[in-house]
Amino acid sequence: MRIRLLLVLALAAADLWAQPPMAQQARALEKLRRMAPEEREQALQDMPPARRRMMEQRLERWNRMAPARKQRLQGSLENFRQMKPEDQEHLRGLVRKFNETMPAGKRVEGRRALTHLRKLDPEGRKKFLGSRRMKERFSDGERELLDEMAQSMPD
Amino acid sequence: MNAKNNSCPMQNENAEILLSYCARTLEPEQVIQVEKHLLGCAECREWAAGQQAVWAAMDTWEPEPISADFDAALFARIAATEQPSAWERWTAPVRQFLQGGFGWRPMLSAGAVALTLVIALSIENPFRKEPPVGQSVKLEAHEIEQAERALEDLEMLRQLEAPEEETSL
Ligand SMILES: [Zn+2]
Repeated sequence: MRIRLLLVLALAAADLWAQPPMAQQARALEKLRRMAPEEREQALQDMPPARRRMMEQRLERWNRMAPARKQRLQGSLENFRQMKPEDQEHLRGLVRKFNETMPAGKRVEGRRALTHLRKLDPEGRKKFLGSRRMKERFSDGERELLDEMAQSMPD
Repeated sequence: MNAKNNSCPMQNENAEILLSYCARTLEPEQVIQVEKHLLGCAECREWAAGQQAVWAAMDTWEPEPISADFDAALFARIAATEQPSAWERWTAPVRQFLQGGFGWRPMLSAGAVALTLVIALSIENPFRKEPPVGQSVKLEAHEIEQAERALEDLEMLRQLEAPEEETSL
């Protein structure tokens, strides 16, 4: 019984020791999340102010997220991390483009269209993007962007 | 106002104005126009109510009571999906033994057990529990970067989700 307990502890230690990158990220995030506000402020004090504010806002949002959503996003992040670095960068670029070029009033619908597109095969995507409804709402460029995003997204 | 006139956004497949109305991004005059229409059109009213529920939920996003187990379980899951390290492959028989015992064969040499224990005991306090939120935690510079990268990509992935999923549990 004692041996078994010791082995459990030994393996727990080994896990800490040999954490893979994704787990390290999750762990760092969790540590940050658990810090007292003053401590966090101190830890982040050397960051450029704008970057730091951005990070604090994101952390705040993450903290407030429902557990089920956290879990789903964490799953998406895992899948995203499985992608080749250049594919990850490509998708980041597409999302930047979406945020910069899609008019604010269309983004909600764009995200909805994206979710739908991801469920379709190439043929279905083509049909959906060519539908009168989509053509009325999104320009050619916008529909192309949505198509490319849908194809570049992780599962 | 006629319920089914030509200006009905739903009939014209022009839900955008309703979306904007729910997102509160319309000009005051447009708001009045839409609200007049909603009075007389059940279809639009119903659609807008559904949208508004989503927005209301987003506005009142309350922090979830943090379950200590939730994040721990998440990390366990993440770690489990990672490629097994050499160390994990090497200790797999021990894990099997610990998980049930039946699959375990006396494959593990006494030396391996001893080494496992030596490592366990030489790592500084590796068994401590995560401190509760707000307690003293030290964060290294590279960890800040890791957390930042995770947050950045989580934010991106969040933006890719349909708005409906923001509140789905
Ligand atoms: Zn209507």
